[in-house]
Amino acid sequence: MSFTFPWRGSPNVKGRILAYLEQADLCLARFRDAFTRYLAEGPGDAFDGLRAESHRAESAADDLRREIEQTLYERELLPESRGDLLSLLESVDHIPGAAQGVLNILFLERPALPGFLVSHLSQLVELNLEAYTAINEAVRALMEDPARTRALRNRVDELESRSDRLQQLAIRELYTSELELARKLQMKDVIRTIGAISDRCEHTADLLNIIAIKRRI
Amino acid sequence: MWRLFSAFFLGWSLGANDASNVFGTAVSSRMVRFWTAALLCAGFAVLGAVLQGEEGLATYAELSSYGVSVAFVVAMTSALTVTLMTLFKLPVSTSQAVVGAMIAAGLFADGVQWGSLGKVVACWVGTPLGALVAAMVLYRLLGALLNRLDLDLFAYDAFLRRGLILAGCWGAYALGANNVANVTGPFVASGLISPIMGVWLGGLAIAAGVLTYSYPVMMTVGKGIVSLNAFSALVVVTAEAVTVHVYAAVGVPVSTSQAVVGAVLGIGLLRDARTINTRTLGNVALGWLFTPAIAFAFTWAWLWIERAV
Repeated sequence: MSFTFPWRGSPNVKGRILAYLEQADLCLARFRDAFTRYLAEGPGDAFDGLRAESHRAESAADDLRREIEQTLYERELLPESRGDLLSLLESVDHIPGAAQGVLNILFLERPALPGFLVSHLSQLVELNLEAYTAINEAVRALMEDPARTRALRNRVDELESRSDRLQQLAIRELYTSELELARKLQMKDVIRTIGAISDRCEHTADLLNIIAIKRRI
Repeated sequence: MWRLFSAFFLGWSLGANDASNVFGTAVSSRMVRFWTAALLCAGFAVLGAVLQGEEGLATYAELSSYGVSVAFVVAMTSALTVTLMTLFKLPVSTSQAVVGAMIAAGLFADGVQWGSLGKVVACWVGTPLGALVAAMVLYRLLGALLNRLDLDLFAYDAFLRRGLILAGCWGAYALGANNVANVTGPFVASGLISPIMGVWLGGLAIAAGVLTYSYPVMMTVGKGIVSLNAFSALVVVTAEAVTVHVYAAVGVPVSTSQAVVGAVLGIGLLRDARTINTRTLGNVALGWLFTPAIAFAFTWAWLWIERAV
């Protein structure tokens, strides 16, 4: 028979979510480094090393997410808060996953990036990483300053729209180029996979919106 | 004194059933461990019985007065009625069963105080109605407060969890204060035990029921309440505690189940009246009519057979 003090808060969960976000940050930071290196130098050991670091950070984030899920299932928070946090974590977790998807294409397929796309790809990565930064801050704000969450959510929507427009522009230029169809398809895959980062961010922003609405009476 | 076993049995079944009305939500949703809830519930029920339970005992004394053997019959037939209604999965009102049995016993002995009976029956209507109004008012007030505070996710969660624990403790106190008269009222009225002994014995019997057999009922009934969100569950438990506590102060034993149904209905009316399941509501109303009627019939039959034999 165990007796738990009923007033205890949830420092474990909050602390672990913050630790998870730090790992996700690290994963995305290494993603940026790896992608930039690939743009500058193409495939090589430096890119592979940065990709491996990004992958390690993603694995560490995954481990933390599993720990958080276990803590939540064991006995923390109200069922609805528990459910919301689990959905939120699952949604956030797709973002580093999407970044890994981009690095995996570069690592496995080693595509040669055409010069006319370099600027678009670089901008696209920056826009998508900005969307991720806004989501990361929005999730932190949900646990500390809900009013700020709403503003960040709008920022994510805006960045996702800009990312969509840039993707369309890049794909249009790609298909008006003289590249072989196979390379065009390969490049389109790279562009779409980068864009998936902000798509995932938008999905998480929608979820944050629902979580906020549910708490208004 | 052996006849007091029937009172203990009734108190035990009352504690086992009614703990779900105050802590079912918290336990079934794994917010609080069962033993934490059970210990809090048992402790506050005993506290309520001992500190504020004598008012209800006085009402029972007014309602009817008869010997120890009849008090034994009243407790046994009430327990039987509660069990029968539980088999039909209808919300059980121990108060209604006991009062129905006492009226039968009083009529058999030609000793019912109809004035006091009117007060009790009026309160039966007033319990769900009072809880309904309390729930509507609390929903608006607490809702406005939470919207104004704009708490972050963890603070919001902690507010509701702590609120549910506090409301549960209050509900358990009100349960003990109000319902202890159902358990030992007939024996105190018969003069077998003193009011002080009545509140202690009744309180401990309720606590025993909570500690030994409330878990399955908490898991079943609590899940029904959880279909509301946590905020609504907090409002329901608080409205129930307020209502039952008011009746404890007036000295009329009422049903915590009826208070819960009234409070849930109040929230349903505020949010969307179309979500109210009228069929379930009809079944609940039938249960409220049948409970005292069946207890009355059981008691009358028992006493008639006893006299014939």
